[in-house]
Amino acid sequence: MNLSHDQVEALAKTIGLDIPPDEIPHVLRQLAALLTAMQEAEDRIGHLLDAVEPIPAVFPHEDF
Amino acid sequence: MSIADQARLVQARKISPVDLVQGYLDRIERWDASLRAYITVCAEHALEQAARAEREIAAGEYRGALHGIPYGVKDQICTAGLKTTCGSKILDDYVPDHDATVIRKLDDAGAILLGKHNLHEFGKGSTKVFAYGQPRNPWDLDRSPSSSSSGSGVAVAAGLCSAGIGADMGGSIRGPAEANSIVGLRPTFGRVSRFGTLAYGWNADTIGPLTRTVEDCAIVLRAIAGEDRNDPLTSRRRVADYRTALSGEIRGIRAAVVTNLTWLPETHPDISSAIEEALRVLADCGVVVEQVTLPLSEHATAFQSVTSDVDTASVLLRKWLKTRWHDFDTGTRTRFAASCLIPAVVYDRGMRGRALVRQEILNAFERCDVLITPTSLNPPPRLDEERDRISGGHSARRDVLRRLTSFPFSVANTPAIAIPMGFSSTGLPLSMQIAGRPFDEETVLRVAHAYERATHWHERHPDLGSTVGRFQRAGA
Repeated sequence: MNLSHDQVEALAKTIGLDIPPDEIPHVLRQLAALLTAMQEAEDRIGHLLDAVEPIPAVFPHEDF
Repeated sequence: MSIADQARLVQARKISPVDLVQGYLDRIERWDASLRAYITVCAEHALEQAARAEREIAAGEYRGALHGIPYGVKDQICTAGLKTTCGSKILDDYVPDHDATVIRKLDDAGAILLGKHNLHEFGKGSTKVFAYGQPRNPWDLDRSPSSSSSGSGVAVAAGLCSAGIGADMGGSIRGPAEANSIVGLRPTFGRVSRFGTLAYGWNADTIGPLTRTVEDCAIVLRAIAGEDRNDPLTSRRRVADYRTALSGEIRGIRAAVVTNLTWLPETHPDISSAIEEALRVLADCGVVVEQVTLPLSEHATAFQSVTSDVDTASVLLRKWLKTRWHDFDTGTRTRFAASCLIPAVVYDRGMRGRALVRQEILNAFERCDVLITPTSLNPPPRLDEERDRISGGHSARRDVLRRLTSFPFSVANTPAIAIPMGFSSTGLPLSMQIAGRPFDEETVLRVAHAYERATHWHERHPDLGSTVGRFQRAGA
């Protein structure tokens, strides 16, 4: 996932987060790694992701 | 000595809880300057509680196996009147006015709080420089004790308490259990109340025991499990007497080793050999050993990272990330700043992915009773290697591999235990993970206990005189 310094800085500003310029490369690297991993999942099983609902597995009273 | 052994002696009044507490305080005094398992030690409080326990037991008011037994708790879990830092300078002065439910339950059982254990900042496993000192692996102080309940793993392994209470979102109980050669259980989500825990991964965080034996794990789980009106996501299900489930009888149980989470090109050869031997041991105990592949689970790390980390970041952002950026460790703030920037559509896809992984794992449990993997694919890394990973000098693949085995069962919210599985050729701990159906902790514990009895790895303990002594002589 190719992201630029300016893109990460602008994204952070949309939520009021000022990241020091010298730390943006670290955040960029981390964000790019996450988005790349998700893109790999989309490429392999995107059609399955379309077909399931995003319900958290936290129902304390269900029968398994 | 295990909790079970200590309890027998305490009940028979052959050991005083006061002597037990003082013994641990002496060991903490002797070793913890190097190991850094504790952030806070509440010696005075513990000795008072021990004296009270001694009086109660002498009066015939014995409460059970945890009465008079000293424990420590990850410093992410609130203790009334006692500092709770989350391993962060930001909370250096935070003193809660309430106990977490697990603390209250352990107090009711007569257990004695010795202190608060060191951890990765906010319990999320990316800390580069620890605000309260670097926790170190007692088997080799230059090695990682894993994350994020690091101090709990160290303290139990080094004999600085009888049990630890940790929190596990992705593997934060099982990792320290693996690295320190002890037992650690992530219970089913909803089995143990999260009330009073400063963890914000609301649909993945769990609280569980770290102990020296499986029987001890069963004892502690019984004490802390159960419905809690302060945590609406706790289950109403009956809490089993997990200790009586440890029958030793596991013939006919069906276990499936998850091949694609076990035998990878990157799996350390000592772990490959150890897991093969462990499967032979289980087969000799009468377990039917099969194989299964869970391809969707290979994506669990990504799914959990773009969801649970975002849940946590959403709270940290408003509270502190905007205003106290420089008070966070660099590893923590990098991780959560990135999580803040995950697009909502990606979060949604991650949540969908979690549902898929859970279904894949539940489907597997239609054909077997437990799933088996190594707890980690590699022995504990050197601390400098771990810092390098956090600072970005690493491949994304390494990060995925580090979490590959533990995250699927976190995503599925099923119980999973880490137990000692031997040692590498260089003497580093190896660990096996056994996962079970939701709320079937009994089977998980029964299989783990039978394996433990057949192998005796749990009887080995780090020689602190040698490992700490070597570290101190090196001038570190």
